[in-house]
Amino acid sequence: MTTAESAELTIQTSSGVVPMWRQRLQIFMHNKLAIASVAYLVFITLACFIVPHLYQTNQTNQALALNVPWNAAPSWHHWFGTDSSGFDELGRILYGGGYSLTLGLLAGLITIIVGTIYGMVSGFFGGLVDTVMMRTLDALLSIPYLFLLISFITIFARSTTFLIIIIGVTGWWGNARIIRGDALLIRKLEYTQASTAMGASRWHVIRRHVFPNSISNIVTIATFSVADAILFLSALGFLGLGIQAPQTDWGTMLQNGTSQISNGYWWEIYPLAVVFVLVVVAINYIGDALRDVFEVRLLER
Amino acid sequence: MITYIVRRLVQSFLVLLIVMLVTFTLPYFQTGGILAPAYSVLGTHANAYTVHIWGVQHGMNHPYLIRFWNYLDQVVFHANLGYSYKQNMSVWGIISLYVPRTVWLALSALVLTVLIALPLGIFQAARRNSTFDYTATGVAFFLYAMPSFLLCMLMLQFFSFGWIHLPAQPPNEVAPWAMFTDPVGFILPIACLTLLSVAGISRFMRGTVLDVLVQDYVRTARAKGATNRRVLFRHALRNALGPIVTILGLSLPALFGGALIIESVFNYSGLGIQTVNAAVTFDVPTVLGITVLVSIMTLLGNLLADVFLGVVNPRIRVEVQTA
Amino acid sequence: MKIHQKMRLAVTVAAAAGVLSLGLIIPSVSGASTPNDTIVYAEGAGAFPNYIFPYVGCANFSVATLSQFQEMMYRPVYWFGTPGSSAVDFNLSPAKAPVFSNGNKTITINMKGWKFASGQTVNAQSVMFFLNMYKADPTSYCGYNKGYGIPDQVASASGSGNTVTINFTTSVNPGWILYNYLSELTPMADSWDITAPGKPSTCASGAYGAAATNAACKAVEKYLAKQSGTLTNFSDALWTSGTDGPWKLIKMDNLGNCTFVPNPSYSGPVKAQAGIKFVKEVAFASSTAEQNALRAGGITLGYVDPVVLTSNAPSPGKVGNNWSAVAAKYNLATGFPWAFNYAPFNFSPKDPKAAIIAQPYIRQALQEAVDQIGIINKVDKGYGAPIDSPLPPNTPTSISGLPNRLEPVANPYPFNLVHAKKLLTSHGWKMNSKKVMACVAPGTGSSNCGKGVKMGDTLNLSIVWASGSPSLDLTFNTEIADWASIGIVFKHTTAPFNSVIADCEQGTKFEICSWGGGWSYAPDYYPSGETLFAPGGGFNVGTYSNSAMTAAIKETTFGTANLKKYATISAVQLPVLYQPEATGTSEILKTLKAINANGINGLVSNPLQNFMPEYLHF
Repeated sequence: MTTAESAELTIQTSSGVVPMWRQRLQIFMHNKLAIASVAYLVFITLACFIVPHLYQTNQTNQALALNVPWNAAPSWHHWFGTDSSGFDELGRILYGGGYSLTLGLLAGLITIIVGTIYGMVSGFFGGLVDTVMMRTLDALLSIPYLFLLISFITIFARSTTFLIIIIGVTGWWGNARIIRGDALLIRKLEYTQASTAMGASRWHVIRRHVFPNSISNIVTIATFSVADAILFLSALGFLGLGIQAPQTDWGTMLQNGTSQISNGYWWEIYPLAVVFVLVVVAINYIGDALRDVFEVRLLER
Repeated sequence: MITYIVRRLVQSFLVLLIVMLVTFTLPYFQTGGILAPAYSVLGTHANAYTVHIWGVQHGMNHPYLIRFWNYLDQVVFHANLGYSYKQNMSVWGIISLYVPRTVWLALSALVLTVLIALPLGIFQAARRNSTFDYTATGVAFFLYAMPSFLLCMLMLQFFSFGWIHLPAQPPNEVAPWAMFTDPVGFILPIACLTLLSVAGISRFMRGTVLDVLVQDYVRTARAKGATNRRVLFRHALRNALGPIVTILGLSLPALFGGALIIESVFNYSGLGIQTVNAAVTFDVPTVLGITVLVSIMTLLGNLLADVFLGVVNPRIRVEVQTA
Repeated sequence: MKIHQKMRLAVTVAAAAGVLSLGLIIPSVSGASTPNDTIVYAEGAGAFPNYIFPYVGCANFSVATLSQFQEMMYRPVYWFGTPGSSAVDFNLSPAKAPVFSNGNKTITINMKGWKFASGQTVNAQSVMFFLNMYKADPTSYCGYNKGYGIPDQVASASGSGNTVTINFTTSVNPGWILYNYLSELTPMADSWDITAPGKPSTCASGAYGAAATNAACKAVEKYLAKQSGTLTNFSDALWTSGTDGPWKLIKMDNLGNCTFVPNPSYSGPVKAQAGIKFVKEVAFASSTAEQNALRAGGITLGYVDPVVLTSNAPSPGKVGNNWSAVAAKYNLATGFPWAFNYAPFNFSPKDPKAAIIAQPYIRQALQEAVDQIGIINKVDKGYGAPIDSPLPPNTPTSISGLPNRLEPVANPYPFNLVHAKKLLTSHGWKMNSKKVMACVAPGTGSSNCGKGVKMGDTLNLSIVWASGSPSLDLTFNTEIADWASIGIVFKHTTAPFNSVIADCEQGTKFEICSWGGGWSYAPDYYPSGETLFAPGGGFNVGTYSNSAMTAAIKETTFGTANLKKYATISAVQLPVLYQPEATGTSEILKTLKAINANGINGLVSNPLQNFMPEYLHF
């Protein structure tokens, strides 16, 4: 919340002169850690999607990998060593990162979009609509998420698209409930009631009041959803239900790496663990920073 | 309030029916249809003949609706959840064996989490931007970003096989109260589970309290001369409890699912591992039974959370009563 | 104000810490090292014994339940699988060698007169008990093979005193019937011939095949199956009274942990070693957990995944350096299992590519592109054996008539990518722009694609294998990459074990499938092919059919031929794609010793995975 306070200062002096979005950008730019997080994410993303074209390593041909020493320590040929199936570890971190980041982003976006729409509609309309929607949500929520996901994965053949859809489609329930609670509270606030009384349409109210007021929550949850999706994918990797070899994702790689800790093959676990944890930390931190930025109540003061 | 609770209970029962319908229908979509479990049970003895015999023995030759009705009849009127395809046990036997084990583990972690995370979050919010706040936030960020299996495996590596030698697993005993007779074995699994949830909950608590602190009524209270402490514990905490209760209520299914990784790493046979094994081997009665049970617990948890919300935050009570 | 607030937090945190530390001060018993009178055996992850009644259906028919639990207490009529050998051991069996007469249509079994714990003699009636039950309800026993052996080919059976006589409707191969069917019979005590406590029945004493006997047996079976449903009751008087093996169960819990003590009334030759008071089997929820227990040193005998081994086996059957984390306490052991690994080809006409798989030269090209040695050396760290026929590695000469060696049959199709590719190009296939072979010379001549293959057909095929096994993924990904290099491009799917078997049997989508385990010969120990490669065979998932093969199989089951001809035909014909067989890697506590019985050291691993702690001591 550093920015929150510095923001209060800046805005009190410049209020009414600078447009809203520039104020927000200013607040964000003041947060050095947030900038560092963005920079780190950009760096990792570029590395995962561009570097493999420059630093070319075999990541898919298992037959060729048979001829490479497995579990080899870092050397000039393999900067981060090789992993427990003969692939270059540095190349594999980048290769697996491509999958983890893409899947996490897409699945996270699905959960937030579906969750927001559902929660907004339910919370704002209230009454019978809310009851039906919330009881349906209760039914979905009461099925243990991980179990349902595993059931789906065992029933249907796995593919990358399938993983995105399944994590996205089964992950929005919690978001919907939080957003709905938000909408519910805001609906109670007097000014919303006032504008309804003045004859504004319900959609107008959602768009003008409910949505902007929930923005902080939505943005926060959205970034956390992406981070959660990445973490979730890694848990599936641990259970052997992640992306199929010879393709890989970070979770599967971490799982393979942990099984080699006892042998002291540090290069198979620690470099990736650091990259991975920092990515999730960075996304979460950006979420926090954005939340400060969108804090309407802070701006309005 | 009573009418409301009764109505919610009726609704919950309908919700339960939907859950049962969904989970009962799902197996029809797998490769090999509802006979697929036969391939898992019979393994390399599966052929057209043996699979057919197995199907008849398990009533698979009846139409879908008849089967669902039979299942419903058994569950609702005879409290019979069926018999596992894979394990030599009734589903109720499996549940009564593993649910207490997982509940003990998860509840201990949950209690510790609440005891640590709530005060921590409030304190951070009250002292925001202090060195302590930064440190705690930083640590929470890192813990939250750790995949649970990675954290557990690293803890094992350092605290069981490295610097100190804590037991790598809890005692292999059936009784769930082994936790009290032989607690040392539980230190690592409970510590790992607690650390993971403290990270999330304390962060959420800090954010929520901060949110409340800038609300109009808190500012009003402060303007009226309320002390910091009074503002913090009377107004802020009271109003922040709502979201926290929601989160804790929501974490019930996650509590069961989340213990899965811990169970798997620390060799603690519990509900998580049982469910995953049942799902992977298509042990349909077991999956169904556990899902129904956990659904009931979650529905009750949600109901309690909503009622509690109504009690702590009167502004919502009206909404709750009209919903 | 500040101070107060801090104190409040401090108090709360202290309370939380107190809850934690309360746990710490209560004295602990876990982590204590194993005493020197107890052998602790690690059960496979998630695989624990869950059935005690030896008449077992398929749901509970597992190594954990049979070879590592029931057979320690209840000895089958003939004992197979000693350290280092899969052969029958008459010395360890409660019956003398069977006598075949009447042109191999009659078998006479003479019991040695061992004792059950109840005091009853293990005699002919004990064997008839099992035979009568088998006749009454064959499908409830998992070893049942419709139309073959016992009970379907049995004309009559009777027992008196210590002698059982079984008459068959046709003449049978003595080796086959001994290894596949007599091996399944387990003598059962009269104390089990009841339908309720204190209500004796006539399943054991009744005439074989009589309606009254069948009815009695079904009632007894129902009662015993129900009693076998509660794990915690396994050590009660009913079940211990039927113990005739070297070990007696004294404790079993619902998690699958069990404790045995030596059975004082065991009449057989190798009794529990002096100083060993208990044998414990410990359940594990995951193999990660089992490896952690090994590292902590809490088990006497466990297993290890080769993926953590840091050096390769110097030669097949020998061990290299042990896993560094446990090397101080444990010795590594390995041995060849009585099994062969394969992935069936799909010959079903329902498959759109059936015409391609039907071509022997295509199967040959696929097999020649499987780098078995490379896979063994890398994926299995050298702990594996190449497979070229349905015979397990090191099949004894006495059964097969073939040399007793790692690859019983000379490999007709060694790894050779150049030759594999040439096979395709010389049969009218040409690499297209997408690097896939396409048929350019359809027809049935020697340089054509073959019957049913049309112009422009491509070698785009599909494969499915069982998910969840990293070594299986590595193996098939290696093969897929090699196949792609000769122009055969596979689309792959992974699915749970049971889906794979269902997919294989439906035969509509995949040209090759693998559930990852091949075939283990147990408790039908004879490596003959009636189940796998004969039309209508119990587990002929690829619906393979070939008249020469069928004839060769019949010679080994109903004739007296050894397995040489059958094995050679199978190697050449490729009814399945042969895959390298991984050999087990187990960990044995360094202080554990084994006696030398029958010239065999008990620490050598057992091909049938029987757990025989009576050979072990500290």
